[in-house]
Amino acid sequence: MRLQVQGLTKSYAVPVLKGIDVNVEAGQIYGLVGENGAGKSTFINVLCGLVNRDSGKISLEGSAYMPSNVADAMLAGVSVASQEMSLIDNLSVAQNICLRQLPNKVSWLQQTEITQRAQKLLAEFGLNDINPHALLGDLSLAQKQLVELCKALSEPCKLLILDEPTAALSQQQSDILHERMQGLAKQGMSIIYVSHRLDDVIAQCDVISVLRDGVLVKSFSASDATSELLIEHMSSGVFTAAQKIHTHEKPHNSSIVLSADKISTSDLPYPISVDINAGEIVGLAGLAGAGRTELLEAIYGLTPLKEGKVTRHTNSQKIEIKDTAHAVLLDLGMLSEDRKQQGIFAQQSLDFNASIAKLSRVTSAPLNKIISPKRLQQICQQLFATLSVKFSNQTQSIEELSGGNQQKVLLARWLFANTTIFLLDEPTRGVDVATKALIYRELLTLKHKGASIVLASSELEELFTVCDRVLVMSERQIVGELQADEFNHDKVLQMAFSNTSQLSPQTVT
Amino acid sequence: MSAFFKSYFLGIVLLLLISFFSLMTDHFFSFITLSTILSQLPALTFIAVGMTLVLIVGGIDLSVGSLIALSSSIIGVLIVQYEFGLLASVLCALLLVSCIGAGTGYLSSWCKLPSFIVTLGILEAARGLAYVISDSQTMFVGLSGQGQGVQGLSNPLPYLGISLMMLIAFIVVIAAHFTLNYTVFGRQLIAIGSNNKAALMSGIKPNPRIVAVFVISAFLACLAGLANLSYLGASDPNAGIGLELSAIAAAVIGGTSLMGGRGTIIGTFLGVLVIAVLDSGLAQMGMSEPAKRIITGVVIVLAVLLDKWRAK
Repeated sequence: MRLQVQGLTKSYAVPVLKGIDVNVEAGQIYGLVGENGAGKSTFINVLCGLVNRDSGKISLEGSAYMPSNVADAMLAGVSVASQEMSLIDNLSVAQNICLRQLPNKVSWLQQTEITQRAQKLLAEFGLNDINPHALLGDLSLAQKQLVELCKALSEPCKLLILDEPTAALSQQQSDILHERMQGLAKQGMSIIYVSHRLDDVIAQCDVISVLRDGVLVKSFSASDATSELLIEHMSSGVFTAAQKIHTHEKPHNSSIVLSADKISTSDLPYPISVDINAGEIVGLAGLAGAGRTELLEAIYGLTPLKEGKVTRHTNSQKIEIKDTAHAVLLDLGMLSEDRKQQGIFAQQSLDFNASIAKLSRVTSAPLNKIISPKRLQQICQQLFATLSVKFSNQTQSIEELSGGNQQKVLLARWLFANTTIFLLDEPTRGVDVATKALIYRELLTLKHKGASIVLASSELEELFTVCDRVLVMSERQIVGELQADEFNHDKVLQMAFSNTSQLSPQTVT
Repeated sequence: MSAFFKSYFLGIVLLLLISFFSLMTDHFFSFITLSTILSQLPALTFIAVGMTLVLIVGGIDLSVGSLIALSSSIIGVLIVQYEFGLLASVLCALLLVSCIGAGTGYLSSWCKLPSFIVTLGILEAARGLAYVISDSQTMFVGLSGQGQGVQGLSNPLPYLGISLMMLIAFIVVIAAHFTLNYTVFGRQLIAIGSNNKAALMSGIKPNPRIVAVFVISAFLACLAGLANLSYLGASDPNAGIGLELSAIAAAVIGGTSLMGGRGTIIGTFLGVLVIAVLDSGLAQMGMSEPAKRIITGVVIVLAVLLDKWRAK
């Protein structure tokens, strides 16, 4: 037995882990699934020495394992690639990967060695296009995620823990990762694999355990598990019905509300034109780096346009969008894929976070600058109830909430602002199944009320579930469009690769 | 609620300090001492309020001490040499110094220079300018024809027991507190300081607001210059040396974060009181200047340490 965990408990204010037993064999891939807040992260943090357990026994290869910090864990042969990445933006890719063995003095020879080691690890992931000398901060989120994986494998380890490793990855990148995982397992490495992508978990793992409210409710062998079964155990069955939403009705009102006319930016060299209608959900598909985020940011006025213009059509007039502040005034709202850096105001209250985009909604005459805290609080309370945000107090800071609940508060921000055009970049990334279902339901409700939504996602299943049509991007251009009745995985992938000269999943650095 | 508790906690610290000094010295708890403390307070209060706003948007303003000297010199020269009226010279100084603030704001927002560096430069330049304007002389304003009313600004008003400058300082504290907590502008400042990129994504333009904050800080520094001038009855190009650091200390004692996004005006005002009480109290106990500075330094660090522990 590689890893044996018995009766592991951990409480913060409330019990988070209530006596967990886990056994992982050598060479086994062990899947762990559960909603956000089920205790997965805490479990991982205990294993990698970030959090001290309250009670319980852990043994690694038969001897007691009690890491009091990350260095201990690594010394014992436990390596983690975490969701909250442990990388440093100001160092090069190579230095990040080899951070654990960086010599005190970086002499010329060792520098070369570091570069070579990093290059080798990158090559094993097929990442030949990432320059080991590049600054980490200049990479895309997907590339950073892959560098994090390389870093976790930079030293020999017995137990590798992967926490949402594919959250930021495209399908192709995920496939490479999975292949690599299987290879490592064959060599005898044990892997704990945590993911919200149930199909991946079922396809890759030997054993799958479901964690719910700090209890391991059930373990399945891979052959017995289906996503329906897993979801049922994860969420007490409440949301299984809500998962199945397929309403691709034609929008009843198809007037154009927003149009991008031959726009280009420094990141989008080729002019792109898109029209968005009232009451429709438009999907943006494509490989990582295809330019989905860049397109949304250009439409939102975040990056200056080189050519072309984005126009907001209202009943009476057409207005050119100048910048983000102007876009928000014209009822646009964007959720960034990078919730921590570009979404939340971490130390501020839930109310603050939800109301900041349109405080004028709760100001009163004569100046219209003075806020009524009571009205603000009431509106937020209603929104949080609609979105079933789990919180103890509206004045608690948003960083205390789980990722899924933070995302709901950010969605509430645009509901508060009465936004009618939503630009959503990976809105369900790292979010549990129940919250996903809730977000889908909310998007459909918004659509029925006449709102327009542009949804960029790397999960095709998600796009096919909620979108009326899907635009496929490749190499920073829109290369195709599929209507609801044409949705098909293979078609999208064909288009996504159509522009790519060589069949490498990473197209742009 | 937590902001309230913070003030409450600092209030207790302040009361403890006052009781301590009252027990240790004969005259501390007397009308004269307290009114002396109050009359010296306005200058630090003004710049500490400005500093808090700058810190909240994630900047820092090291220039305010020198701006005190510059505005005091401008007012002095205009009154003594050019025989401007008091009001006219004060308005001139406010306009000029606010323009400097706007320049600082422009450089540290649109030009993306760190405000630490920009204001460090202005700290030097404004001090130099103050020496040039005043010819490095202290000018007695109160004796000249136009300047006779100046000292009245710092004399206690009838019935109130505090000076006009102190009254203005109180009004500034209350107005700033209200602005920060109950206006759109105030919340947007907090948003910019806690996450600039997220503020931009939420439809807030950070740059004009950062400029506004530096203008406010410079404007308040000019009021502090006036307070200093009226208190001394003279303009002094050496005024306010190092006072920017006391303002930062007051803000930090009051719970303002140097990383931006967190701070209260009430907390800062209590921080100002702690520093002032400490200063007078230690002096009355007969402490030497070096000993005073050592103790003040230790208290600043202790206050922040306590705050940190309480936050856990």
